[in-house]
Amino acid sequence: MTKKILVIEDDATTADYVAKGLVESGYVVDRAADGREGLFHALDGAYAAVILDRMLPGMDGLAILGAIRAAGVDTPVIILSALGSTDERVKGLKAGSDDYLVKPFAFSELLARLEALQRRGAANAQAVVASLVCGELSMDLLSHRVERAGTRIDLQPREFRLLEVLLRNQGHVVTRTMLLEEVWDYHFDPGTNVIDVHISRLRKKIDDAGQAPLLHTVRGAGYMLSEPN
Amino acid sequence: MNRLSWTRLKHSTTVRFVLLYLALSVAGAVPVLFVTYHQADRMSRDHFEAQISNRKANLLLTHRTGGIPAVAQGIRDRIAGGAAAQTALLLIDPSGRRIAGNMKTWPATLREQAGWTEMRLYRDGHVQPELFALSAVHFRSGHRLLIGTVIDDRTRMREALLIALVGALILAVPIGLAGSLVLVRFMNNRIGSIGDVAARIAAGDLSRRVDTDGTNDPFDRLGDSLNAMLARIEALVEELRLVTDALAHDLRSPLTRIRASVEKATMQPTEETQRQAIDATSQEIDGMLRTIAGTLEISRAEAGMGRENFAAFDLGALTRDLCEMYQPLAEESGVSIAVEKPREMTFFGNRELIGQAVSNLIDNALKYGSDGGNIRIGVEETETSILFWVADRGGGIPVDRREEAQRKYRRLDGARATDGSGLGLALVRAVARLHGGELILEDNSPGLRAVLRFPRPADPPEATL
Repeated sequence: MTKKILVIEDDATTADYVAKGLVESGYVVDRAADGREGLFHALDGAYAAVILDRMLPGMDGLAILGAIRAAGVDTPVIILSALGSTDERVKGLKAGSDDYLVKPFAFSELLARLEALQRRGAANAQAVVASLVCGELSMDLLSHRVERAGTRIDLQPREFRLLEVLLRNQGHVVTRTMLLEEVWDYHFDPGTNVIDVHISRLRKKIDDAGQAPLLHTVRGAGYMLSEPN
Repeated sequence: MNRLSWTRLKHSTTVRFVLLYLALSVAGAVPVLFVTYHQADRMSRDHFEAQISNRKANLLLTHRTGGIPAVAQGIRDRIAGGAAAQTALLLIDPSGRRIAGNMKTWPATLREQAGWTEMRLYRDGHVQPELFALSAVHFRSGHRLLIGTVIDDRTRMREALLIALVGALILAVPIGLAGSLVLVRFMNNRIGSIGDVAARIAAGDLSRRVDTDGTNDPFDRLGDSLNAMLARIEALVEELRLVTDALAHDLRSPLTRIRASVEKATMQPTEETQRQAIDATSQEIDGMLRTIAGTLEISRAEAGMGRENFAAFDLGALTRDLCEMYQPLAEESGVSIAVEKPREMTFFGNRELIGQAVSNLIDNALKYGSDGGNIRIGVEETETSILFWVADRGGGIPVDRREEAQRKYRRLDGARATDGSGLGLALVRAVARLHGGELILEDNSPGLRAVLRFPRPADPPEATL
């Protein structure tokens, strides 16, 4: 079954950009150009996710979010906003959104976050997992033991957390900012390529010379852990 | 005057003030007049009392020496001599018949008593009743004597006093009105001059100031605070102008580079080189977005926004966390980075902004101080402050350039070669100020020691044994 995404965005260029990208990624897209119409659709509840602009004619984005949540609809919501300060982000998350993306954004970032949200929703529905596996790589979440093809790999706590996030999202792109938020719980820009250096260290530990690489760099987007095919 | 304008007038401060002043002046006049009236009335009453008791004493003395006939004779003499023009006199025998006097009959309600009573009586030859102050004497023989004095004078005086009172009240209204108008005008002039300055400011002349006279009265203090506010506004506007200029300048160069690289990309022969050129363009755009985000974050911090997200967090843990985050990067540049004497330190503030500031300082140390090979980070607590510092062993910043280094878009000569927005230290300083602290750049001889100093919260120190 194809998944339906609701895009509530008044700026036609941005809406086209997002809708086109989503359709190419295999989603069905409904669009609403103003707040009231958007709220009307969103209350339907039949969407896999809602992408919501913060500043809309007719109704403020946060007000729509409030109304959706008040109506008991728990469809995942990603807010798009030109208001990029950390305070605004916190306000958006507190209002009940599942993620907050600052304009201008790369579509790959939006897609990665959208997919991560849906996996998170699916994972919550399942029972707690005790281990994560990707090809030869396995991670025991209880004993904190990581092995590749039977060989134990020693990881620092932060490296362990980094690998865990990648494993949970395996097969999908995880962006640098997503890693910064998930692994370090920071929402600011640390400037230099801090994340890249951590990834390259992790890569050295899990992808030994001679082994097929599991950790891939996705150009212009982020990183992805996947089985060699 | 129609109703609407009266309603508006009623709410005008000037009208309210005038009315209040008027009410106060009337309220002040009334008690004075009241006291005057009572005092004057009492004086005239005392005068009548003295007259009556005097006459009574004389007649009683006459009675003691000559009995009733002497009293009767005395009365007759007084009436005949004209001494009784303002007097009522009557002597009756036990059966009520008149023996002597200038009245026909004894008033039915008059009894012997101490002091005197007021009563309206007809005297012989008078058509109108007159008001008398009366005193009666009952002799043992059954004869009775009435002595009275006309008190029309007192009544007239009362009336005159009342007229004076009303007159004074009527005068108090215009005088009060005039006085209050003068006062209000004086006040309006002072406030008006402040308003004029405000209007000039609103019209764009930010250099205008309110006149102050140094007396430190409320008007003067108002003027002083307004002037202080205006100075601050002028400084902010100037700052804004500088930032706008600098931002325009700073955005123009990356935009020029972006434009050039887009043109270059369109001319690339192969797909691979085209992709590389587009990637380069994306990086330029990202850099520009970072500059804008940084500028906005600084402006917000400088405007005092972000305090609503203040909460307690462990500054020590944040420092260790960020140090660990930069560890791999430092190792790649051959620098050792470590937290000196790690400890817990509860700090009340905006965790994200402090984190950003700390990471900017570490980033700076890595960029400009890595040739020293050693970066130390520390958190300390003194009696009065909480200190966070990052120290490197690199080239440092000369004393006379330290202030410049903290300004927006100012990049010292050596730094222009590396990429960066020139906002790092400016943001650190803005965040420090948002938390009531400051950024101090010190000599680490050699190298730079950047210190964030925050005042310690004023809670009582925990008891130590």
